[in-house]
Amino acid sequence: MSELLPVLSYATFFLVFASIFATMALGLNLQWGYTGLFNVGVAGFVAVGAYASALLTTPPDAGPGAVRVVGLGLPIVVGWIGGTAAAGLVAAAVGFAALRLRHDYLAIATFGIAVVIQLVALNAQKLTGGPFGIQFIPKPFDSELDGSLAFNALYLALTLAALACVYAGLQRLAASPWGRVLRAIREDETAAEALGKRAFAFRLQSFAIGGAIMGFGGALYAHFVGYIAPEDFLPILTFQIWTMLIVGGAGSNRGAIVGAAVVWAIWTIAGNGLRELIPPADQARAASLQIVLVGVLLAAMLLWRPNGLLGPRLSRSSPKRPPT
Amino acid sequence: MSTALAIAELEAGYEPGLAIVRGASLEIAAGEIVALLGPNGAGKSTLAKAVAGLVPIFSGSVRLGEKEIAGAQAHLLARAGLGFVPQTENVFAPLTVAENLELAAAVAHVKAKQRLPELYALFPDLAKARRIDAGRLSGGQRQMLAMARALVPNPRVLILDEPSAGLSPKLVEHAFAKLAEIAASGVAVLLVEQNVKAALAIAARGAVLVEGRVHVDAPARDLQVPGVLERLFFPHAEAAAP
Amino acid sequence: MILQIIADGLIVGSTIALGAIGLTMTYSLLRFANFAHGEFIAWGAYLALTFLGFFIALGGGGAMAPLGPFSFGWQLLAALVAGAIATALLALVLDWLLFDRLSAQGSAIVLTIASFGAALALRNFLQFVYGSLPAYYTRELQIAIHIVPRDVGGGLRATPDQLFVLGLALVLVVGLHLFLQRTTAGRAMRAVAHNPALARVTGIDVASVVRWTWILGAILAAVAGTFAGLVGQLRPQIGFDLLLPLFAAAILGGIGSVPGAVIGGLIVGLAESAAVPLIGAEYRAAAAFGVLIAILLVRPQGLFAERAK
Ligand SMILES: Nc1ncnc2c1ncn2[C@@H]1O[C@H](COP(=O)(O)OP(=O)(O)OP(=O)(O)O)[C@@H](O)[C@H]1O
Ligand SMILES: [Mg+2]
Repeated sequence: MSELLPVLSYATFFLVFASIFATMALGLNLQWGYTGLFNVGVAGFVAVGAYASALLTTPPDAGPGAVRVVGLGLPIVVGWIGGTAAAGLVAAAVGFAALRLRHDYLAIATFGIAVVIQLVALNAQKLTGGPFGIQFIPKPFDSELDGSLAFNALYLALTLAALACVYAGLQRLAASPWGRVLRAIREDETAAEALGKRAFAFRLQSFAIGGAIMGFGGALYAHFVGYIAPEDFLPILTFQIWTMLIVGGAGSNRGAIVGAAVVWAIWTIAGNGLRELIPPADQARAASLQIVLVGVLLAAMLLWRPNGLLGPRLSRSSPKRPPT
Repeated sequence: MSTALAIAELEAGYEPGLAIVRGASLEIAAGEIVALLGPNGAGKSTLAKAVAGLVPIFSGSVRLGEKEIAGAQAHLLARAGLGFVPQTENVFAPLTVAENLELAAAVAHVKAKQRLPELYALFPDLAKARRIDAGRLSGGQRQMLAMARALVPNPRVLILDEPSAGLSPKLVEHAFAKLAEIAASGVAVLLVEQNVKAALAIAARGAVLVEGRVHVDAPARDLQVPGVLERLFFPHAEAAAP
Repeated sequence: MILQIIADGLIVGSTIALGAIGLTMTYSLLRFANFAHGEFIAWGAYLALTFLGFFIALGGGGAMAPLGPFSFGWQLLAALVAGAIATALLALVLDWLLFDRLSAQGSAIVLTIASFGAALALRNFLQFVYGSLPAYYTRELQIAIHIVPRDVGGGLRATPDQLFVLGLALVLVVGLHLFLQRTTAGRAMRAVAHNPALARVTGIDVASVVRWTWILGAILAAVAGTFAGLVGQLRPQIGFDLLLPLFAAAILGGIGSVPGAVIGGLIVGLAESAAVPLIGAEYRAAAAFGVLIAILLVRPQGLFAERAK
């Protein structure tokens, strides 16, 4: 029994992360899979959610050497709602500037916002704690449980419930008239043009909701780990989420979830494997190789299974029927 | 007269398994103008682009003179003597008139110094506009430039996709007179047209494409009889009427 | 003060401009935003470092004898050339492995995702090979020369290396402009950017034009990276940090326009150096984002869009 404990603890830990990533991947799937909006700033929206939730729920640093002077000490639920809303607002603002334009301009603009958010996180010390980040973010449940298997298991239940809610919500949205319009806009440029201004509104809504879901994922992350810093929200996170969605199959919510689990497993195994193989002195380098590996995985997927493991048989190359 | 272009049982289309051109056959002799007619969506442009190497060919054969060219790359065809004038966007707008022609000459290894004056003599309007960006030409001038560009390498076959589109009747007359002149110099011309009347006026033969097949291939004067073409374009019209 | 800000902006801007030219060319020819372009800059800079070591060893080792007032010797110039060639090869391999295959089967946006993945892989592979500590081409200290005395507009000082960078960038830009305007190869590039199908029926071998565009873009990126390393330091993030300024410059100038990319690069460089006294050096990178958002809101086609559409 006692040998089993660390395994179980690790398994729950792994699954909590997988379900948080899956939540973020669902947000991206709404933007990319359903609406065809290309977001290269996923990490930025996740960061906004995480920081906003942390600031709402954590009291400011006290005593000498205090860096961070902002913090409201509100309940965790308020943090989650606030983090989700903040990320949605940022997404709406970026979308407003870039969504009217060519789709690749959105990619560049989202890339830019992620860079700027990273800069703010690093440098606005009074707000974000700078490179040291925010510590002692409150965790749900009893504080005695902290770090134990029971805490992991309880939090896992929480993230799974959250994931289920987001999944169910998105499935319903996709089936609703709103979702059908999104798909029409994505698949048929002329339909989108015919909708004109309304197409822009639909895209903006989809982009903002997707961003909000990513922010929610960030908030879930913050209150599980209890500590966030700028380096948690580097472009590699964006890239991981993208790989999860592509591996699972863009356009499918189930695909996004499966992809998150698969890629997170590959990521973890690759990391452990490389740590075994590479001498301790070169550990930092091992982390680089881990990223290279997943980069190659994404490229290979795009080349040989562009629809992913569970992606719908797809519209991109669907034949245009001659009008009759 | 020798056959310059021979299309036989051609199947072509944009997506595998979805043929738009479905077994079309057509021959054009050197110096001859053949008008390719047909209703909207019949596949005329697709046929022209397939011959020019821009649309995948699934089966059948295309011969340029004696050479089989089905499936050859477009740029090699252009250099081998097949001139193609697309329906729209058929000049390089950011380049000047002279640059458009010089570029075509350079890639085909034709001496621009010799060839351009000949073309300017054929299209005097272009000579006056040679330093102007092609994007700023009038519709008529632009069509002239598109033709001149395709003629730079002295092609044996010239394919034009609706050169009359958007031109005034007077300009159409002018452009088609040029085409007759070009054909008279020995070039085989395939003229895809909606403007049936103008096309048949200069063509030796007319071919009617319906649903990707050449249904009728007849001397132009037989097709000029009122009512004939309507029936050929819409063979199922009576059956489909309620 | 003001003169110094302008001069610093122009020096940074010339690096951005060189990078943005390659980006705007591949963007308009291949029709996708290549997030891996920044990594050509980084790899170009580091490959030059490797070749520099090689050439120094070839010259008998020891220290590099500086050329005239500069901090570097002939070895760095040779390394610049060799690094640029190697970077061009890298770009060709990446095109062959990834972009060429993907563009045959998919949409531009799939290419963009792939380029994002390729960028991360290339950057981290670079970090794996070279480590993450800063590196320098030369340890030679440079004395800044007074070009304008202090009582005129706050004065202006620049190191010989900075002037070298500015001068060589100018030569490259003018040369490239003439190449695109006057030579057949250059005109063929503009023709393919404008209309690939028409280019093909005109007899242009589009695949070969695409290859040459990769080569040119990668060479300019490598030069930009070497310049950035020469007037600053080499870090694995050197390309990533330049990516946002590059995109801002390319969009500001109008995608496809080489003069536009140059002017866009200089404007972004000036905006960055002007932003330093206003919002602090740590937010320098945000200036490029400000320029980007402003241009997207006000004039998304850019200042000098070449494609008349
Ligand atoms: N780029 C394309 N991709 C897929 N299908 C296409 C494409 N271009 C045309 N088609 C389809 O091919 C069919 C034939 O089109 P085509 O342009 O060859 O007809 P056409 O005879 O030239 O008509 P028109 O007289 O209107 O020019 C049409 O049903 C059209 O929808
Ligand atoms: Mg047509």
